[in-house]
Amino acid sequence: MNYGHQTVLAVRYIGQGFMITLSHANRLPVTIQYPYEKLITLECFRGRIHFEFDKCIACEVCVRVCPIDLPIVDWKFETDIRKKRLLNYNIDFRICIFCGNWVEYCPTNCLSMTEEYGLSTYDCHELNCNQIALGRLPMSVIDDYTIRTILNSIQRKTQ
Amino acid sequence: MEPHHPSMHGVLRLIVTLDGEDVVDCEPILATMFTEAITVNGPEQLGNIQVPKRASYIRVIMLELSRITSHLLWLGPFMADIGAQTPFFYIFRERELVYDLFEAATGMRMMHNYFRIGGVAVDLPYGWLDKCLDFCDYFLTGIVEYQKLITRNPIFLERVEGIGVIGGEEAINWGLSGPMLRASGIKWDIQKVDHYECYDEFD
Repeated sequence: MNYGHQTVLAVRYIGQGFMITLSHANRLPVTIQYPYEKLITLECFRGRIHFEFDKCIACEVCVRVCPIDLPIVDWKFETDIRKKRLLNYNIDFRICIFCGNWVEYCPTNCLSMTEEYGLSTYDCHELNCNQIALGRLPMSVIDDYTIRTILNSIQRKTQ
Repeated sequence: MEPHHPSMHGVLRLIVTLDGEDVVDCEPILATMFTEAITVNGPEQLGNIQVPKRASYIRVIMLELSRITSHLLWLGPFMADIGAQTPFFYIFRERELVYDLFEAATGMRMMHNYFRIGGVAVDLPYGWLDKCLDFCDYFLTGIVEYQKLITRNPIFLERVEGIGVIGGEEAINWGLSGPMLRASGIKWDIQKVDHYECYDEFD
């Protein structure tokens, strides 16, 4: 191909590429302004763990199912009523990988995963949660009136 | 060795022995990324556990979506290394859609934890297939866009055409598999040959 022909082809293809860039001006934005607008996560989202102290029977299945044996279950066998009594239950969120394995295996359904995902703190030891901290209800994004929630949907982005 | 190799920065580590400026010896250390399908297929074949057809198809869909995302993620830094910064953002737009699909089915955007021995963890939610088909339609238009931007672009062609050609014989000698082997002209799809999941029934 001679040089002139090459130049014409080059201009044509670069022009085509540039039209795509220009067509972006006609589209809706894909990004969201995170601290002020948040996405609503789905119900099955594997966020922070929620633990119900009263339902736990201290069977330690959660420890066995966990790939890193993370939960620390502190129980004592009460000989007079012949049952286990749960003293303390601890999870270290610095190490938890949020796999969600144990939700399937807990026999009394005392474990579930909430929609919270922003767990960063200034002091990492705050993430070592005991049963009272784990029993907190999650901060729902929809109820928070300072944050504008964006519904996650494919239609919005494909327009 | 990182900036010179086209894999995503950080995946491949090469220990290189230098002699002045020439590379004398090279030892690759691969951080191999196994998909969950391999860890699950092993015990299934050992224990002769039958996987239901539907679960097998669901697994195939998930694997293919993961493959699309990982190829997209290869494309981004590849174009960035060549010099075009915008495809890097475009791939994340497509990946976000796939993340939403994964989140609906499995609960987490990237680390799914979805495959179990004998099938999958939970069934797909009600409208998932329709969303997936919508994504496929959208992705076709996305690919057309990428083609317009990249495939004929003279800058891209100048930098890429004719470099690193591997012939068919050489590819087999070196033990390549996958897209590189197919690009060298040999028809070999390991998924069909090895009876992996139920890829046999696809065209």
